[in-house]
Amino acid sequence: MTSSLLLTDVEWRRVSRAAVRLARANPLLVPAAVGAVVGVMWLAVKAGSGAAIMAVFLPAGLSSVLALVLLGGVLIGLGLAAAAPRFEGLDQQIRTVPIAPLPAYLGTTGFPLTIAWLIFAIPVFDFGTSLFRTVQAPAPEAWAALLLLAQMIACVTGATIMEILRARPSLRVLVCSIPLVLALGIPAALAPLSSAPAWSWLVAFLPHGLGSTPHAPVAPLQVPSIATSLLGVIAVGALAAGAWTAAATLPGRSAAGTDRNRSRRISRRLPLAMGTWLTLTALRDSRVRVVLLLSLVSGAGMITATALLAGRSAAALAPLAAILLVQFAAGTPLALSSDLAQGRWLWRSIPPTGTRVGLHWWIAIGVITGAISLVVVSPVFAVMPLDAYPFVLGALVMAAPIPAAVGRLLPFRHDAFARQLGVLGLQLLFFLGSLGIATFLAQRSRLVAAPALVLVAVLALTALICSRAPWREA
Amino acid sequence: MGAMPLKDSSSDPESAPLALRVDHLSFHYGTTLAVDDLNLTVPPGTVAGLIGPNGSGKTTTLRLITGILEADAGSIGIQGVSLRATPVDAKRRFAFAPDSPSGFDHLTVQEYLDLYAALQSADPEYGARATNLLGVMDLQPHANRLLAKLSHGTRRKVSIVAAIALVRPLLLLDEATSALDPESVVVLESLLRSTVRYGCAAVVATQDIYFAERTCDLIFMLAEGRLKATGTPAELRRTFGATDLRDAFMKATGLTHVLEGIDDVLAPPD
Repeated sequence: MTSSLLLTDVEWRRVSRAAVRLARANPLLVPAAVGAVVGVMWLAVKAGSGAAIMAVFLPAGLSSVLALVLLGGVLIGLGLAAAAPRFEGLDQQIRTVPIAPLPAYLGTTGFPLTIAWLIFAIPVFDFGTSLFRTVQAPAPEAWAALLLLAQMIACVTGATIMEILRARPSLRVLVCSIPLVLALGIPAALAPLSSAPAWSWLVAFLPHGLGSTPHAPVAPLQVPSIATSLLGVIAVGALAAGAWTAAATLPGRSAAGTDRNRSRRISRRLPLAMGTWLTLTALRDSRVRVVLLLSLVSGAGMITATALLAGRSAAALAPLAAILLVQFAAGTPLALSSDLAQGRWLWRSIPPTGTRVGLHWWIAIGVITGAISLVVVSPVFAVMPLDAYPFVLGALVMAAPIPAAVGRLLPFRHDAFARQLGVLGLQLLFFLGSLGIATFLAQRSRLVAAPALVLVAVLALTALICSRAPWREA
Repeated sequence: MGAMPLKDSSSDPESAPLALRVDHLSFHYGTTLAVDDLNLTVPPGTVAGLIGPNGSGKTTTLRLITGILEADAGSIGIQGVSLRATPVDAKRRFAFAPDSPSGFDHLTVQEYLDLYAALQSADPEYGARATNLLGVMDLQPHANRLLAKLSHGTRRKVSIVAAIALVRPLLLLDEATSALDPESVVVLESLLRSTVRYGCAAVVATQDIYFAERTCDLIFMLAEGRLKATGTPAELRRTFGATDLRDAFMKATGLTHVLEGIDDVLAPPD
């Protein structure tokens, strides 16, 4: 245990040093980051309260919202476990110290992950309180805490899948894990079609049961003892934690796949050469493939949930779902930017100027991210009205080059956990801020072209950052 | 832009511009002075060696010459072209292989050479030269392997091949022999001699004093970011009254005291 805490302390010091460096590099970034976190948290809490009321009154809404909470937990678990610091990432000499695999994993990955998961506790707890107050459950806070625990278990499940993938990296394991994730959403999708209670395995977690009636219950149907539910959660949690520990300490196996590849022709023209390099990297990098898979899974989940929650209003809500989904594609440029950062010795010593390299990077990343976004949101297009297409496509074009630009503003190591969270946060801030400005201008100035002007401004700003801003990534 | 036109080695070296000229170069990492008022001149057709202890400023000097780092003070000229005033033109006149090439993990060796050629605007014959060099360095069997799957030494060889195949007027190799097997070191020595016969100059930073003594026409000895001594290996031996370059190096850098009492270092305290 002592060695685990020592390793966690090392990670904590690393994060603290990065934060201090960030504050010294630009003192404005710290209040901006705090403001962004508080703002996003506030928005999540507000949206959660509204969703709780919708969940109760819409057909099968309760099941769908619970499915979303748990599916979201699995995705968070998968994502954070993929990005988490790891014992294998430490200095080679430190890695030879005699320490058992479990404390090594807990110290570098397990404890930091648990702390990161707790960030989501505030919105989930608030959502749960609203939900259980609406269904008039006794002691809504206690039930909300149980829901929070259930989401933590979902996070652990996601992390377990990631650990299995790490230890046994093969396409077969990857494919087999898809049904495991989707299984959380299938009962909710089938709920309106079946007379059997959906999510019956979750009954122990909830005070009101999960009726299959066309209208979800607005009053408690059956209130089991909270102690019984707590025991159920503890039992499932222990099972999940056991599976996580077992998966995390599995001896690693080298990635399956061929040692040799067919070399592709790379053009002598600079933009094409950079584009081919990044495309080949995206196709061959397992991290990018996992991100793409997660994006597709979450895209399918999101559209299912929208259809279930909104019913006839699904078409109207689909554009909103689409612009949220566009954010999922950011993982790809995140993975690719580490390649750019590692090869910086070359970029700085070649004749093309930094401005030219930066602009080609902006184009290549924008095109790749846009293409991935298009795949991810494609299910949404099927249920979306035609007049919403320009809005969604505009949002997609606006979001595509943002990750390329924000990545270079953060003074972290290319593989640091803080950098990955920071890039995602900054990307959301850029994107939602631009959308907000476009909406404001369209409403106030009655200028029809206002959204197009904001789109052009975002493209110009990101191109300017890519070509001119100092490269802060270490 | 292809390989730069090179001087015929038989032409008058006095009239040719210096392959590299570094004047009063200084650089700080934060508050640490890494390069202190450094002056270097390398004529064409010369293999120059930068030798010095760890942290003496060898790698930093090469990074400044290549533009990876920006100098605090001083000037750098490559074939008379200022790196600060006309960086694009200056960068077309050198090729560089770093000590630990990184990035591009998901490209094969062949694809990496193609990308490198595109980024460097190499001439059309680059591919043929690179293929020949892959054969000479025993890398042909690795041509379709991903860089991520190669050992550090093999990856360094790929980086050296990529740089030498450009045939630029100035070749810069950092930690030239690091991680190379003995056979590759011998091949590299021959390649460097061959390069200078074509009128190029080479600057190699190395920790291997024996390699430097065998290969280099000119030696720059660095310590604490400063130039401590310069000359041909024979001149340095003579100047310091040394039997070989290693002995001259220890005297030039003031490290002879390090060896005194070394046998007692691990002895238990009294």
